Amino acid sequence: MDFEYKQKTNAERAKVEDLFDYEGCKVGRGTYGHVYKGKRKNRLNTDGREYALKQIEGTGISMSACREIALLRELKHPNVISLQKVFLSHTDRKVWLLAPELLLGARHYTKAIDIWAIGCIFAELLTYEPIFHCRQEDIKTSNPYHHDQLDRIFNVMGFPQDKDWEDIRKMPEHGTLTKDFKRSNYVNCNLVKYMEKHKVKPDSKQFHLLQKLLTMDPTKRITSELAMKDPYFLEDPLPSQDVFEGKNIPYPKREFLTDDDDDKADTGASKAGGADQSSGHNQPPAKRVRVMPPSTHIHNVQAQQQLQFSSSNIQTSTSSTYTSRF
Amino acid sequence: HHCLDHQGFEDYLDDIYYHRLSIEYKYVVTTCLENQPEVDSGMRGLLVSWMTGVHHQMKLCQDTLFIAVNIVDRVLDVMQASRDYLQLLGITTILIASKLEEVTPPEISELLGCCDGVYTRDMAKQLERVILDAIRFDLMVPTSQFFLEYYATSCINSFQGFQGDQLRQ
Repeated sequence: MDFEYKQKTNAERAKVEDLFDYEGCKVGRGTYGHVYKGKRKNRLNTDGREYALKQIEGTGISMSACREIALLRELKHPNVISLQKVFLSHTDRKVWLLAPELLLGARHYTKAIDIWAIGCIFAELLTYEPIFHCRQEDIKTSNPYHHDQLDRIFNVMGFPQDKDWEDIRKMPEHGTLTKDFKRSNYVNCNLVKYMEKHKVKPDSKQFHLLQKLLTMDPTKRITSELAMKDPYFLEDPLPSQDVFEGKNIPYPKREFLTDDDDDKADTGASKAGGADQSSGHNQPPAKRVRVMPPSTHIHNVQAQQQLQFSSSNIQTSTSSTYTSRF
Repeated sequence: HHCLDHQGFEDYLDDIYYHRLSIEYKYVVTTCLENQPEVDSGMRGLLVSWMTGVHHQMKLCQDTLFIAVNIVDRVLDVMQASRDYLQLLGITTILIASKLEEVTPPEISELLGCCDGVYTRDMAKQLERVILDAIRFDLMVPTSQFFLEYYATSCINSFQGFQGDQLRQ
């Protein structure tokens, strides 16, 4: 529209590779793309801080990228990573955190939907694997119904009984569901089995809480108020504001990933190549490191915000990066 | 037609209200037409009423329109727009606002269809980037629609019993 404006902003824009060193420092990947650990380039690096660079690839700016960035622009909390710069963006939803009612076409976003997502994350913390992980490269449509994701949920949870979720019949996609799925395919599936396979006992407090969080019928799913009062939170270790409180963390530093690792990316459990670098008799395997920030930087959590955009390659696919402080 | 639904979030309404009130000043633009050679208030008015028609035709949420118009103003505040591209600006801001508000945002092709095929998909996608750049992804617009709804809710809640129920209906 405005040539002068474009020129002005193009000149102001820096490229991510001009500002940060991050090559070869990939520390994670997900549906959205890749995450790198970066440092500001030498002359800018006055404080030695480290940044998370999230790179997202795609052909446009997706709904979820748009919302994620807009929300991160407003969020400011010591326990929440803070957005520094945006170099432009595309991503897909993390479908495997979506509650079954959303996948069946629910029109309204409810608290119960968030509780389901919390259940998914809780399960992942217990087992080190995304509980409903599912390939999702073909999820581009605006249609919420997603066959493979529902299949994955039923494979873990079993197909819901009519008495357990009476209103399932009222869901917009219920017709498609009955057409596509046979209950008999899932008779041997249930959450007890899945969690036992991952060494979580069905009589444990964590299992009971998980079961209440991952209840298929949203009206029967536990509320956050009740969940907070769950016996699980009364047993040791008790909850604290800072999960690392006063602890000497035995976790090794994140290992950098190579592109070879990426080829295995959609098999679910990621295999951080190589052995646990900080050897010690009582230490968890490197895999657990995925959800942890590097131990030496946990005190640097609060941060400031700034945004920036790159203009590279506007015509074709847009590749984008945004950075957050670890 | 609107789909603003506060059900289940009543506890947070006051917090949300005070937060949005505190950031409102960042989104208010009064000088967007001062440096525009081709766009005056009448032209802006035409654009807004055309956008209202598109919005209505696509059966979008009320807030989508308010956000889109706010983005138009903030874009005009930082760059000059030529008359020929005003409709493209209109549909692109609707596209961006839809991505925030709608359960199922319209396809770009549907929006292009409202402009008699004057613009291409690539043009819309390019402008989208320019806009998001210009407004720095500040998209959580405190709209007058939001405030109106908040005040209306407060008023209605001050009536008890039958009278309150009637007002709510």
